[in-house]
Amino acid sequence: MFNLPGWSPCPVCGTKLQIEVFPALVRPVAQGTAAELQLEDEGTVCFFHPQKKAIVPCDGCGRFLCALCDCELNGEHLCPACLESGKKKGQVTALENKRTCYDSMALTLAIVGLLILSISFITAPIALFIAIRHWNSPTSIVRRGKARLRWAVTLASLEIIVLITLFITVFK
Amino acid sequence: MASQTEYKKLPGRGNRRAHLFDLKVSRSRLWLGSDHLLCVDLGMGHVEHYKRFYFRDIQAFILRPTSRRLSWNVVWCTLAVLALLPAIMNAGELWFLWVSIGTLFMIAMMVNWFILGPTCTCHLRTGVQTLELPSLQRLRRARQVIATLQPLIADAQSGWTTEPGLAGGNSDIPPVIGGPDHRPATPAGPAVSPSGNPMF
Repeated sequence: MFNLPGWSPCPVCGTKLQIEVFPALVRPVAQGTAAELQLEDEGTVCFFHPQKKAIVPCDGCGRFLCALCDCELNGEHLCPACLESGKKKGQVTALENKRTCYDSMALTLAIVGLLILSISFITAPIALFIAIRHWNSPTSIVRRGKARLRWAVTLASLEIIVLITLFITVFK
Repeated sequence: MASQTEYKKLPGRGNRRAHLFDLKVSRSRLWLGSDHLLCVDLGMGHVEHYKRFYFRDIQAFILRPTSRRLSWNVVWCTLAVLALLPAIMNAGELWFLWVSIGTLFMIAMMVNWFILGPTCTCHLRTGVQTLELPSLQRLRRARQVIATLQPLIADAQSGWTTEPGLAGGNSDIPPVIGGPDHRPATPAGPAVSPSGNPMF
């Protein structure tokens, strides 16, 4: 029933299924490597475990790492400290699992203010503030560029100008 | 240390929710990276949640047909008839026009559901999880995306099946469609694991 072009019934419950399987399904679980003990005084030792033999330097800070401390990520060897700091600072994109899209937020506020003019005196300044405050903040992983921020600034500025003009005209 | 990946948008979008009346809905899309598939769920407050599935870890895609299209077409058809009934009974009134617009909208929704094709659920299985992909709720689109991913996944996992003794010499898994050694599908009985038990 695997890798067939159409539906085939499940042998247990009879539900129609189409299953595309790949060799990873039967791949054996990879075994971890134990860190070797440093028996002699000579040679490089792990920065975090002086009694263990170093096998690789950290690509982030250059510290020597044993097999226990070596965290391999996309071909790079990192120590736990670099991994943690890289995750916190957003330097390791592969570890990021969440981002706030301030550009979309600012643009939404600006458009809402444009559609409902009665609340634009609240939404436009907030949209402008968010756009300027987070101009250099990282945007979505998949959608780069500052087009949304530019649109948000433009629309919010226009709304503010219109509101000020209206205010002056009415109270003059 | 930072690595930037270019992503290519894959077709399809859908909503992820725990149940039908769940208010915590997130919009889900799939993006294709150089060595992984990225599932982006855009939740409340413009927060994007990312799930990466590396090609080397993907074990299977599981498609199952659903009756969503039929259910929604019944709903739209019923609403259209209900909207049309008073309009027929009170022909000539001004609100007849508005009711007709409503009916036309419902018929348009029916046609839309019909044109988009049959529905399904698609699950992606890795060694540690089985996750539903809400963006692949249309069978045609799901098959299109899987066909796009198959050669990439097959390429990433190409070295494993050739090694002798892998998984106890299991050779029951047929080659991937579109893969390098794909053979035409033949009518087959229930799949059986090496121990003799039916798989799945």
